[in-house]
Amino acid sequence: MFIPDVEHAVAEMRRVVRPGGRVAAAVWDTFGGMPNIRLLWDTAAVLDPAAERPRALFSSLTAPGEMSTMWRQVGLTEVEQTSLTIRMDYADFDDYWRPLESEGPIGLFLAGLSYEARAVLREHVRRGFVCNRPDGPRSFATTAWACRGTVPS
Amino acid sequence: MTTAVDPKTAPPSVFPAHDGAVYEQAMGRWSRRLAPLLIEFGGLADGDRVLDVGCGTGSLSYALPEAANVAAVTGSTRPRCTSRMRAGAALTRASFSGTRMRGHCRLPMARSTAPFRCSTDVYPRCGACRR
Repeated sequence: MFIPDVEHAVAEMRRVVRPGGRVAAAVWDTFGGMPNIRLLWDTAAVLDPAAERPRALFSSLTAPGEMSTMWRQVGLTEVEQTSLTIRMDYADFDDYWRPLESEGPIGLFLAGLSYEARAVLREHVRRGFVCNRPDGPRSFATTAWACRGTVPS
Repeated sequence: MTTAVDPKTAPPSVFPAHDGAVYEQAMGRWSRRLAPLLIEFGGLADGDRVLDVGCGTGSLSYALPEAANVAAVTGSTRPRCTSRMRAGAALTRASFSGTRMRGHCRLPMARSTAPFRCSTDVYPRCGACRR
């Protein structure tokens, strides 16, 4: 999902795997499969339309059918794309928010906000997270795209 | 009003990571949860040799020997990730220099346009790569 030249990367995976071997990968569906992350980006976009650009929802290989198309394009056979779903279970809002503050594209985005804007965003996201109930465990179904293919003999 | 995001103008394709333990809380713990599902879908058998491209902190790498009696797991990641991986190894109480894990080979991924290949001079016994 963070590979800029996807075709090159997948072609290289095909190249280094022995004939008959399998090339498989998974990519978090940042656009449609991560409601917990959407909560933050969508809230940020409402508060400040300028936040649209760094939303980073369109990661590599996350468009519908993009993985299988790419797998076939580099010459892999028996290609199949699917969705894999896990649950992201948080103990409470802090467990959700704190790691996001410093890591990944969200950490980068938050670091670019003023102290005030960041506090406002955090409060709105917190409300979305707790949803008028006492803070505590929340669970989000989260989906990754996955694709597999075989290197022809 | 909002406009469609052009992937070409999206931010750099990197995941800025600063701290192994915090990364583990942000994404690592979820990647470890996803790993068995990907392994089942991808298919894994005893004796397989696996190259984990972009292995990062090894969320998938460490799950492989638990799913099958694999012959070798070779992780590849950006050099900067390697220290994270060692931190991850400590977190998962696994040894990255253990018999089943063969460390990493340098396969430049993000930003690099050079073709990546297993640097067999560093890890000459990596069997996942065609030589």
